[in-house]
Amino acid sequence: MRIDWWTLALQAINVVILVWLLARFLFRPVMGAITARQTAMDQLLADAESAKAAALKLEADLKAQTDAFAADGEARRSALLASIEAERSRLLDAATIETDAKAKQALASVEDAQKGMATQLEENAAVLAGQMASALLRRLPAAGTTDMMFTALLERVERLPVEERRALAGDTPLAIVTPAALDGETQARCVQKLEEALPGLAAPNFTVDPALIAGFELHGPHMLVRNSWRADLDTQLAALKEDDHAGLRG
Amino acid sequence: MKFASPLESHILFTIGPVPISQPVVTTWGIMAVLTIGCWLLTRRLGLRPTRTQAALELVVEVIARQIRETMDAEPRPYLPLIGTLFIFLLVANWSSLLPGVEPPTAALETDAALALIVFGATLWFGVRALGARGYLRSFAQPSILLVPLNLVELFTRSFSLMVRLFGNVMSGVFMIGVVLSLAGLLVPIPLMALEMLTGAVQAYIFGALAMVFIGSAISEANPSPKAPNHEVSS
Repeated sequence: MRIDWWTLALQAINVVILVWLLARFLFRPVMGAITARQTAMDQLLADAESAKAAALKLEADLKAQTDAFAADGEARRSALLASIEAERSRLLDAATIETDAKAKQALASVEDAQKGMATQLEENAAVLAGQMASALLRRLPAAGTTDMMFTALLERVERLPVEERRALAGDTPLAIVTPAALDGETQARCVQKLEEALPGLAAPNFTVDPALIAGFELHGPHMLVRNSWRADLDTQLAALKEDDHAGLRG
Repeated sequence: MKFASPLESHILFTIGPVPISQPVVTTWGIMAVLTIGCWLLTRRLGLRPTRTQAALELVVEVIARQIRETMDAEPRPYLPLIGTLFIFLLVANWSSLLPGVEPPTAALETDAALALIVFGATLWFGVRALGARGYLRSFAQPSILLVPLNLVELFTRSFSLMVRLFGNVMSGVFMIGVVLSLAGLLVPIPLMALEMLTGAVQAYIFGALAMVFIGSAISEANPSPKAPNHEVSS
């Protein structure tokens, strides 16, 4: 056996050169490709992670925006409903007030009409009563009623205070109003009795007013003494009206 | 039929005073094939690997993972040496399948050159990792009494590396040649398949032992083992 040192040396050199060649043409490129792929993969994973984070953030933002829109819409809807309700209530109240006012107005109109009709009826009734009383009175003797009514007038005058009788006596020209014309004797007797009740009385005038129906009335410029059926009817009518007013107030 | 002695080199030609033997020429051919092949295969590597690129990456990653698991170190500095040894030995051992080609690893000079390179690499990486003093001090571990034994081991294990490879490959080639001369054309085929297996196993064993030797030389510099699944590209 013999070792060929040249072959040994050449083979050692060959292997060293082959190590360099394979490192240059095999291991370095392949390792570089692996490293590049790993780097790209890491970059892709990082990008994917970033994209995922961005997508999640965008999703959260969109969700928050959607929630905000929903809340805003709900608030606007609530506000609109509240305004509609307020407007409805206002219109309803206004309509109620207007209706009540119109109802009250209509009721007042009806009451006024009823009152007017009642007044008219009462007046008509008073006129009718006067006419009926006048018709009935014409069946009685005029002297009897005249004396009785004049006596009653004198009693009323005599119940007046002295100052008022004095003022009445001086209240010229004093008119004695009767429903029918009196004859001269009756007029003289009435004047005489009146002068007795009212000393210093100036000569009175006699005036006829059929509306009195029956009785006497003394009309002066400043005073008035009534003792006639007309006055009594007016008094009754006034009392009726006063009762009606009192009923309405009550 | 007369067989040439496998223990003798056959000089094909000379370049000046330098005799060029057949194993050297075969090695040049293997170098050319590997270099051109690697250049062709790695011209267009991209992020989207083709099948070829995927196969290349698989081979490189397997070697790198083996380095990491055996040496418990980052494989990048040792990958060209260990990878080249494995690939060259595999191709050289299998080159005997080609008619008329005798594997260069069947020559003692080639195996000696490979063992010599592993020996030098062990020293180089050991000194680089521990420093000259540290590496020399490692021979006194665990006891200074073991310095002669460690020194002897340094040479004998490289020698055994050479002899193991030479014996296995040479015997396979020689046996196939004997059987082929005796039994005809098709009979040695099972032996050739066995020779393929032997060649692959020997290439793996040579590379693994080279990793073990270098790893033991640098082990003092790597007290804490790294994670076994550490990625090649990291």
